[in-house]
Amino acid sequence: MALEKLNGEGLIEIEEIELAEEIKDFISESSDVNFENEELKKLIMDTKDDELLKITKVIGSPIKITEVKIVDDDFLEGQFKNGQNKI
Amino acid sequence: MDKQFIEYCMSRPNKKSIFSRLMKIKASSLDHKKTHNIILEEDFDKLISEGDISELVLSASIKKIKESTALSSMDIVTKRLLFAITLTSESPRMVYFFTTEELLPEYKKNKHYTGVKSVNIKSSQEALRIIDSYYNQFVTEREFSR
Repeated sequence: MALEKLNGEGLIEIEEIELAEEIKDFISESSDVNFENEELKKLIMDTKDDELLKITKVIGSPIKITEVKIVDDDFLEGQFKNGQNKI
Repeated sequence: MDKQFIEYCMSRPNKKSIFSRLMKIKASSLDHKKTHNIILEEDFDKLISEGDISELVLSASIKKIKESTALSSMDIVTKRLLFAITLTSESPRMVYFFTTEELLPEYKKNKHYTGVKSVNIKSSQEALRIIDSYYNQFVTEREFSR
């Protein structure tokens, strides 16, 4: 399940965690996706298929991927109450 | 899974590994992609409102399902149990139900569990071993597909 909210520009912003393989398939099969910058695309394509990525995308026309984070121990540390980051 | 099992997972020193495994199992299941790990919406919402885990990670690990209104007046143990039994109407017609050592007897003595063979209730450490087993299948399938 993805988390949806409206961003400051009134567009739907979606956060989700997926296998890198799934995101690569989405990128290759969708003609309506672009990136905030090419580094984000490179990060996705360079990540092993069986790793998890957290992506943020904005749904306008087209879909823009605005953030990509690798779901590793450092990321997960902040996802629990006793982690360093705010949930 | 029930709320108490998720809390048990969150209390483990290797909780990051457990949730990472749950996310990969849910994302990659061949038969139940993105619906492999299930929890009642009521339990999910309580976990989020208590704030011990982010909604992003919890929703990537388990899918919340709204229970039938027919179950709404029942106690939570019966509700979870009947919901699990409902899931066995779909292939593979067998489910694991994960809970804690403390709650296990509550489910096993519930009158609706009498004679039920398709809902396999596992608790705490044993449930974690089953998660490991599913995760190992994920790793093995990845190795074969390369």
